[in-house]
Amino acid sequence: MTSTRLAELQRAIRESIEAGTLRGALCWEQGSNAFRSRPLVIRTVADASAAIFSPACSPSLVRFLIEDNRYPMSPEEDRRPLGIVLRGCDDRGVIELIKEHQKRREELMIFGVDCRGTVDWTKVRKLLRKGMLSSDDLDHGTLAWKEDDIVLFTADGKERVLDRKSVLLDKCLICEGHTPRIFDVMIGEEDKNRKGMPVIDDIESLERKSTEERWEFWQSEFSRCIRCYACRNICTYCSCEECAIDPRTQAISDKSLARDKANRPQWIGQDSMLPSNTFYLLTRAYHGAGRCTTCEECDRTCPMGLSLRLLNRKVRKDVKRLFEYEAGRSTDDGPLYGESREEDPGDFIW
Amino acid sequence: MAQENEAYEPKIIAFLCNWCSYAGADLAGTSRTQYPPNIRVIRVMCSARVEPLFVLKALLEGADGVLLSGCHIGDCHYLKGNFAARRRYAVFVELMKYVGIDPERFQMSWVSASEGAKFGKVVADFVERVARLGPRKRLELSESLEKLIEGGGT
Amino acid sequence: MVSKESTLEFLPQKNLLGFIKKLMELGELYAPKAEGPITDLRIIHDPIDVLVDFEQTRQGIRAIAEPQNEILLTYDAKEGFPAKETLPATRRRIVLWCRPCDARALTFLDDNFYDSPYSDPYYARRRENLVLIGLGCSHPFPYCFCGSVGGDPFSRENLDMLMTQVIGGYLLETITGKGREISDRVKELLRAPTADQVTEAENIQRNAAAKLRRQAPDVSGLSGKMSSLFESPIWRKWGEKCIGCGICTYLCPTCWCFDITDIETKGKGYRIRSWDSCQFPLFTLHTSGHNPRPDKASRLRQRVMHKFCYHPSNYPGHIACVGCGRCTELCPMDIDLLAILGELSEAGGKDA
Repeated sequence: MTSTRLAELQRAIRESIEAGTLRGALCWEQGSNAFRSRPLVIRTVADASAAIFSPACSPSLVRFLIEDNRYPMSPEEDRRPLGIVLRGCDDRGVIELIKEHQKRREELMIFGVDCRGTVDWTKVRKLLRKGMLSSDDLDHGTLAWKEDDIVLFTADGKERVLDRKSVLLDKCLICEGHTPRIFDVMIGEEDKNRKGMPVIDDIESLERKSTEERWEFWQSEFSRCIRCYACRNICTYCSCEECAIDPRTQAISDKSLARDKANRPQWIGQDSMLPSNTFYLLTRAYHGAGRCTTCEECDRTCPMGLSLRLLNRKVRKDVKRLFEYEAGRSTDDGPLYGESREEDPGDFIW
Repeated sequence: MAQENEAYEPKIIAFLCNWCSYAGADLAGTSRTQYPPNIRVIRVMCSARVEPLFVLKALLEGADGVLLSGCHIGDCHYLKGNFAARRRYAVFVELMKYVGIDPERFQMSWVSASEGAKFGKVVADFVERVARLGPRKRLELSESLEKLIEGGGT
Repeated sequence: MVSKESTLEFLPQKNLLGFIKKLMELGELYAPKAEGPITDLRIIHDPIDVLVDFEQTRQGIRAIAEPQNEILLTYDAKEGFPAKETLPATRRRIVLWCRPCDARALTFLDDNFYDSPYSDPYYARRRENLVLIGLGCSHPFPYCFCGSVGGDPFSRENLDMLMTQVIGGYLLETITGKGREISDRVKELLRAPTADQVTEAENIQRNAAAKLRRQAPDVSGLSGKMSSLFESPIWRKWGEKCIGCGICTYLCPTCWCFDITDIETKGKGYRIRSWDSCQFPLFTLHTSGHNPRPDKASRLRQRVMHKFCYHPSNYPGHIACVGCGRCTELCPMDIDLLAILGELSEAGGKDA
């Protein structure tokens, strides 16, 4: 985002805060180095000046709508809408949340922004190791977009254009649209050249392999999982307070009785043995059918580098192929399993 | 597939919907239809109740195959349950294939309350197929637990 | 500093493979290995798998000393008890090229499991048979801050041997008797170091700490202030950014919390110990329904307080953080421990 656009965004948020129309606004602030950012809850005018929007803004803010439901960001009596800054890939997640009645459209004030790609810290680490980026760049640089270019402004006043493939998240290289389709305020211009669901080469090639090869690949992926549940906690559709496959959320709801807490059996333990991991990861992948919008946050945050995007995108692809259904398309859509068509595949059923 | 022990008898968990398939299985019984004894029946109210979670759990606990049987399309006691089940398992079978779990270990069927003979045939065909595939050891929890004792933790 | 009891030897680069092979004969060898896109300490079955130039391993030595999944006992599901205790095997486990910070972390795990009057027999078995061959950090990683929490890129704490990479190979310092058992068996692969090599190593070791990019504020006085900081708005501010996963705790080399469950399958019961995290909502849930840490702010506070206040007050001088930086670097929302500590230091407050 250029400095004028950023000023525009900050002003739009500030004006709403000043007018008292919002109970808060979700945006980003600068993180632990030039390439990272973290979520910021803006409640005062002073907060608004810390807001940034740059290629460092990789974390998705959509998750915090679910967090707000469970750990409210303002007192219950405050019924004003919550502001949120959305990029092009974020709107699908918000549409799903609205479809599932986790948030109503009127409860949100959406500031739409034009995003040209955000960085992948793992890739930046690699560049650091190779000496193509320095500590100085981390500590004193700033990132910005110039059209589709990712520009690093270094401490000594130089401008370096970074290669998109070498720094951006994989999902940004196959961006489906720079701006969100739903918004209340649009900073910059709407992207009218939206692209359809991309084809993922890695998935295509996996599909062509033999059963054994696929088993070996996925078992070696699943064996790395340490069941930290970052994938579930960062997910924009995982809104269940108590989850069948997440034993650490067993019976924690206020509505659960004491006997639930003491006696309810668990589907899966807290261990991270391979069968349990397979159970957890496959079930979660399946639960994404018709709900996962492939924001790829789970893939970004997995500390053990599991190729979760190759699972989620596969499910999204199959759902489209089998049922012409896409999560996050429109708030008018019904749930995937609530509808059916004549043409629904049934040959596999005896 | 090589068998590990001589006496491999596939263990099949069969989820049968209360209104159609369970009644159909009952009819097979009262009609003295011969079918292999390998299935362990779990009655559910509707095929839509069976989540892929159940299928995976069965495989984890040592099932060699999982059968899911419900009412014919249009005949669901709850009107649309089996439509959902049909969609669900179309997705899940693809996912099973993709991660290398043999989809032949899972089978869905529509068996009505009057189709005792069909039920017998479904079970016989499925057991034969799973017998050919061999025992499903690789997803079993008990295997991993035993390994931990020798190996000293992972 | 090299102590009087330590011996210095040189391992030429060309003997490295032989050295690794020998280690594999002497015990179960753990070393940095590529696991998909990440690096972690894993059991080595093929010496070629050992990474020579490697990123920070995702996990420290906790995964070896207190594994994520461990069977404590088994029982017959029909007959019940008596149960059969399943202690770990008494086999030598050698960790090659752990970082000094990860080795230091064992001091705090030992506080909890080993040195206290109630020693955990499972941990003790593993710990006693652990041989640690450290690799000093000539080039600390971007998020490291060991120097400001009582550590050093070439700290020798808990190490049996310390290696320093120099031109042409490694300087090998044998520190303990356990280390000597190893170095005696690889004698033919080692040489006497030249004066130049020793000087090169000393220079590298002396200059390493200055390369640390990050620094913690002075946290020694923090435990005194902590009770006044208990209700600080700092916790809510940062807790709001947290998503409540377990990455910080599961990758922290000094964390140790665990849960015990019984799993019964196929007629046999297993009592399994597996990792747990104070960041999980169920962690402090009472059966009554009351949860003393009901939100992310209180759970984040718990984590920081435990490392910098509660543990040091139980074990004086032991700040349970080794400055590896993993919690900040891998946090999905970039929650910065050093920023939090900085704000706590500035927040002042009277000693309670």
